[in-house]
Amino acid sequence: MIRINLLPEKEGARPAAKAKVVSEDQVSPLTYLIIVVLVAAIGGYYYMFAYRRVSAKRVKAAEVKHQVDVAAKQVESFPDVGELKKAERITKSMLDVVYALDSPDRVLWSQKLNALSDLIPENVFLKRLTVSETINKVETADSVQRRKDWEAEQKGKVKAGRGRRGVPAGSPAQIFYPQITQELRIYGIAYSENEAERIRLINELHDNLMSGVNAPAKVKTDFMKGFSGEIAYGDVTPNAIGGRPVAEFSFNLKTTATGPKTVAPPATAAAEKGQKGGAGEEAVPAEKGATDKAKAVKGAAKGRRTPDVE
Amino acid sequence: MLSKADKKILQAVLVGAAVIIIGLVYYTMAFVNAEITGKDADIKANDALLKKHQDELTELKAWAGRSNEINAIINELLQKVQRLPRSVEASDFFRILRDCVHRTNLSEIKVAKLKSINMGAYEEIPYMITCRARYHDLGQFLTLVEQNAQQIMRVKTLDLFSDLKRPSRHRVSLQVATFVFTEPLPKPRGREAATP
Repeated sequence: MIRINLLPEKEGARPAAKAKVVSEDQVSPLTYLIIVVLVAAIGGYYYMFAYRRVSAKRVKAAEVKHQVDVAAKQVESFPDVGELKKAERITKSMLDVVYALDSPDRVLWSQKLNALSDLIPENVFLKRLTVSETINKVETADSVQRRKDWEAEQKGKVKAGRGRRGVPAGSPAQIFYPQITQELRIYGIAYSENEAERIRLINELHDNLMSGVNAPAKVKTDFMKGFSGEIAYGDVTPNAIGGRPVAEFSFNLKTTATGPKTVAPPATAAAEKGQKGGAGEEAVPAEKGATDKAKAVKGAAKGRRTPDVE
Repeated sequence: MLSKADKKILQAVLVGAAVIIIGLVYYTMAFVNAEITGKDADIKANDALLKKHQDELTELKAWAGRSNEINAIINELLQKVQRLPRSVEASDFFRILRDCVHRTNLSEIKVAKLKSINMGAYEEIPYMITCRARYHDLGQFLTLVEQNAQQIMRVKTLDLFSDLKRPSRHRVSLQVATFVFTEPLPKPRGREAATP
């Protein structure tokens, strides 16, 4: 008899347990997936925490370096202004010198002599006038700055290895302006038969000079302009001229020091040169003594006893 | 489920991954961070340098822009210097001084050149004048000296004293000085010299 199997051969032949058994050597797609995920995670980590950060910094650094190079080239290609700076500093220093020697508000002795003659009261006569001067050399602010700039430039060269170490030679010459103080000494005599009157005359001249006004002569001047604002009394001594009693006296006035237009704090005030005026006597420095004498003279004017002139 | 091969592979992969991760962390800590710190320092230094260059450039531009102003200062100086002698010999000064003396009523005049005084960038040239003069004639002479339009002159010292024998004509001695720059004077610069 012919037997016909109508069931499919594979389905019928496969045992149920055999279908579920996996070969020991077979690699599951899940394993591949895990490997891929791991590789991706490691790659992602590297990208996020290493490559991306580093490359961003490299790009930024390169950009900044490029900007620096461009700026440096611009600076290098710019025309040198060192000469311009130097010219300004020298010019300003020289102008300081010119201004100190020829300032518009300096004391003009022609005007002072004129004012002085107007302020002298009756019976007071001048015997002698002297003007002497003291000059201090003060370095101009621009000269100081010029030397500082030069020193900084030299230090920069040494740092860059282009200069020599140690104190560099060839520093720019210092420019000094003269700080001139002049001193006027007035020697005179006051004549009166009366001692108190002689003292009063001396004080009257003092007051006239201080105020710039001679009331009896109806004269008003700006005599004290340019002076320090003080008139120091010198010696007051009795004397007789042609048999007439007189009081000899002297006053001492100092001008304000000349200086540049814009006075900067002097960096190196080298009071090198104290030139005393030629023809006059040595200046009397005793301000305190002079003030004491002034008090004595004022006191005498009020009736205190002073040595008799005769 | 997972086969033995899977397990082996995964074990190996996990160990490898762990090693790689540890290596990566170490690499990040040791090299990446160091490089980033180095780059940060470079950027900072270059930023400072850039700022310095930019400041320098700004300053240079400012100086170039001040060319005219500086020229004006130089011209002011040159204008003033026109009233000064050109050399220490100062022949013009003597001529001007002599004119002042002759234009006033001074008598018994003696004019003597004194030794020049070196003051660094300039030299002072003093003259000693001795004469007899009335008080107001002396004032006139001093006006001519002190307010002279041609020459900067100043009265350094003055000694005026009365002579009892000739009360109206006083004996006078005074020093009058001018000065001359010994340093070379700056010259005005052309615009092109400072314009980029």
